[in-house]
Amino acid sequence: MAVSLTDPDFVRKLESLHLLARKVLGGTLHADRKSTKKGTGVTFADYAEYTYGADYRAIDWRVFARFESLVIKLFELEEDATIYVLVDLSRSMEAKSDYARQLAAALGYIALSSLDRLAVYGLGDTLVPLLETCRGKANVFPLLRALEGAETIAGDTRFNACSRVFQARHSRRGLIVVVSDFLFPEGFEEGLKFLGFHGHDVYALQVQDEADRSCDWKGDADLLCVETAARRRITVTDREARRYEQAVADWNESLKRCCARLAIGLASTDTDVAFDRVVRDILCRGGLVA
Amino acid sequence: MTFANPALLWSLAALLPLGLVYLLKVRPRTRPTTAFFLWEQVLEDKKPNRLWDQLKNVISLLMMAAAFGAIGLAAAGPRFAEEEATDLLLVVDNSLSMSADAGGTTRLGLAKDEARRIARAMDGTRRVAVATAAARLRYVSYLSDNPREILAAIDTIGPTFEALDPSVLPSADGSDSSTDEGEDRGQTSPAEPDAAEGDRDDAVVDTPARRVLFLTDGLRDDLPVGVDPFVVGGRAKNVGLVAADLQFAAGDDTRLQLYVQTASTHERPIEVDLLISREDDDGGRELARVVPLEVSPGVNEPRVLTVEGASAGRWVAELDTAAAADGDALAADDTAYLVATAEPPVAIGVKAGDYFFGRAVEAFSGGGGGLVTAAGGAAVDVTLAAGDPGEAASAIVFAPSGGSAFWASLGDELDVVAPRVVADDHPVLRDIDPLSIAYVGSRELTPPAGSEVLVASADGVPLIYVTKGRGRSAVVVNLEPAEAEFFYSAWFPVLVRASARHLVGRAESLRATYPPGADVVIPGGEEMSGSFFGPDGVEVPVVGGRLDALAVPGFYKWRSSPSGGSDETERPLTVACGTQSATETLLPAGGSEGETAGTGGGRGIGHWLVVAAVLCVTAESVLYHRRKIG
Repeated sequence: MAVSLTDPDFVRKLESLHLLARKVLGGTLHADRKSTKKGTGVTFADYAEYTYGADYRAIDWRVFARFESLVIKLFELEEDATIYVLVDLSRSMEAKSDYARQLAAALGYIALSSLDRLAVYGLGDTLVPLLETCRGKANVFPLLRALEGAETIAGDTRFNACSRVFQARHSRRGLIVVVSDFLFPEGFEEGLKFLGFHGHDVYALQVQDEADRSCDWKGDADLLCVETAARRRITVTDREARRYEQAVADWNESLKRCCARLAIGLASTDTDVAFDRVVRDILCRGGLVA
Repeated sequence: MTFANPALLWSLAALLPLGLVYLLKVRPRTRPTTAFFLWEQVLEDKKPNRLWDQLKNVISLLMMAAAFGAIGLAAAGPRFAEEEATDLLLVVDNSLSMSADAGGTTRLGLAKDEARRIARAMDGTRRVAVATAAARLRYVSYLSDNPREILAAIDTIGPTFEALDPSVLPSADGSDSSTDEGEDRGQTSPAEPDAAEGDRDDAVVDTPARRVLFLTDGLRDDLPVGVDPFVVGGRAKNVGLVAADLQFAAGDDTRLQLYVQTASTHERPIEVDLLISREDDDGGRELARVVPLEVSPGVNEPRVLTVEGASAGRWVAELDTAAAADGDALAADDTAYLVATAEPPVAIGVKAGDYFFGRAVEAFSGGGGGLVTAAGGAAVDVTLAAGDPGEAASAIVFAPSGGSAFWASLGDELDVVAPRVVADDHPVLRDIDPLSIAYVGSRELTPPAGSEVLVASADGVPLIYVTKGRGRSAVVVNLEPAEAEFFYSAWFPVLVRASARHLVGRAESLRATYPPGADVVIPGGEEMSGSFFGPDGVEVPVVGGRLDALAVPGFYKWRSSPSGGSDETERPLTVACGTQSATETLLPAGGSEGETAGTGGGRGIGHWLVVAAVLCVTAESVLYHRRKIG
């Protein structure tokens, strides 16, 4: 690993990102993550028509007195958020592994510093837990060490299967951040849909580099799949190179459309862009919640 | 098939390592990819050609092996076994007719192109030498199997104004009948250019058979045996002067007679003007006469034209062909450069009573004979005497008798005289047969020291000799003309005239014009100091009384070089050079297209092997480019 996640300079960068997060998101240290869901908080949010089974304590009797209509008051739900970071550790991410781990570390640091619950998993042909659910800033260094020590997982990235495994382990809804190149042979839609269906807020953080998007070589080649070690003899001309680049662009476009359709946040970045700048941009856009 | 350098065939052994290196070179590189499934999507539309995929490396290898093998074979110098390994002598005709237009170029240009083609076809498989032929044979290259040297030699060939003399062509057995040694170019015969003098005889004996290919513009019947002609150029329309001479009319120094003969290759008679001009010392021309001529096809009858009120000097006769309907392919033969010389006749004082002496002088007194009998009291140039010549400064003495400065001693009459010619080419004897003369009445005689004996008896008694000394000179004929019946011989007046002209220094006189390439004997040239300057300003030195081969038509003017002085004086001595030649003007165009059988007729095997190698490498490069560059 070229970059040490426990390096003081790196930790200082994480701290500065956390301060930015507090400034952007506001609130106190305690459960300061506002949710879009309506619940039992103290801040009035809206009225709703009374239905059978609703909490009669929330009925606004003043409205009933004036209009003879039963309505209940809704309040913003204030809860402890649970952040799940799923980092792609497959071989396809080897070249982008440092970058992905830095992003995961930054997001995890902000979460722990905000007293949110955090769990980190590695994605591959199976789901590998890196950091079990924890809370508090004391878990920052375990987080960083876990990310630093995480090994590459052989085999194809089976995101859909991993999603099921994840859901089986964590029924508690939370915010799932998937850090990956999303170049999954089985596709990504099923997994994203599955997580969203189970009430998670999902955020896709796509990390790709130039080698993923373009083909700068031509001629005869023995094509090797870095994940499965599958081989194929091919001859690449300009035409094939252009078609490959178009295929990657189409794939990324399909990811964008899928995320829009499923109301999933998406940020695509290149390894050339500094990780803290990516996190800063995400925070400036209002955070990870779509 | 045989090979010039069979040892180079071992280079083919390198094919095996070459194949191994090649297979390593073309092995595809492993390209790791993170989106293998996307590549499969991209390639699934592509029609698989498994047979081609499997064979393309083998095909590439075979192509490279074929290219390398072809280069190896080409380096070994292959040739068909039936090809003769004889040397080839390319003789390019660069005579005047080869300067004729031939569709934007000249016939010489066509011949050089053909020579280049043949030289390239040799491809180093046989030795080739290059020579030119016109009035002389000139070698321009040594025997060489290097095409580049041959091509460079061909490039140096330029046109001449000379007429072709087929007798100068070399024969196939290696003997050259007339060769310009080319000393000024440092060239010798190409067969053994480095052979020592002592080895020359052996070299001639062992000279291998050679083929002589003559690139010319017309077939001739008088080519030496073994010379293969190759004809370039076609028919061309030309008109020109093929003969010209100029002299004053007998006894009239103001009337010039111009002898001209024209020829034409036009199919019909054409009308041209003959412009006769006199050229002054500054090169300016004054038109003296315009003569309309009708020139019929072929060589026309000669005509003698008269120019009244003419003077001695340089004259130019020029055909105005600008009006010729079909043009004139060769311009150089339209002009004749001539020199008119007015020489006073030699005054002969006859100091002999015999009637025949006077008749001998009268025989050459008119019609340009150059002799005249000195009238009483007139100056005498030469005294014609029998017996004692007296105190004459120059004399022709028959039957010497008494005492004279022209002989040291005189003895008894000889009984039997067996003459022998001592100086065969002497001007006095040039026009007679001295051995046919009956030397009757000859006497024992001792000539003065320094005399030049021309004819002597077997015992060494001089019969005809020339003596000079103390300002006096004489031709002494040691015979009694009456007893020898020499008066009745045709040689008698001829000998008198030749002796008289020799004694006054006119034995050799310049002709009105000389053809290009001719050696000119300058009268009294051995004592002359200076040079001639040609029409192009080039200095032509006089060597041994001779003017070396004239190259350019025009006037060559003498300019003396006084020893030790800076001033140069110009003598009115001019040599004219003209291109008149019927064979050249008629532009030979006979014969079918030439053949160069045995010369390869095209590129050699080695050349085509190299071409095949290049094609293989090119095709393989395309495949390689596709494999490596896409």
